Amino acid sequence: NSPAETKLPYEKPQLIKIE
Amino acid sequence: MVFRQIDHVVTREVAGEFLLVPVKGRLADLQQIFAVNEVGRFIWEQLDGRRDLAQLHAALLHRFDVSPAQAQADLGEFIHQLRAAELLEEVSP
Repeated sequence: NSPAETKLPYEKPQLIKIE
Repeated sequence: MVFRQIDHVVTREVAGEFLLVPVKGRLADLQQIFAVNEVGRFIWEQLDGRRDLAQLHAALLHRFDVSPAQAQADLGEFIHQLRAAELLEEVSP
């Protein structure tokens, strides 16, 4: 007897300050 | 180490961007608006003052297609950025 869980594509976490 | 979001940060999704806006008193600090990408948003939402870095790391690996080493390095750097921006505080054990 489960389908593999699909993981989301990864991108480096970024914090961008908006000027 | 356990971190939590500081109080008085309003989060809003605007035009597909996830924004963090610190609010002081009744006014938003318009000089201090931040945007985070999807992975950054995921980490931010996990910072509830209960999960330590190891748990955050495990959550990243569970959700995203990333190597443990890459997740570890990026998580540390992102936490550092949030602390530098005074958006995070460390929770005393």
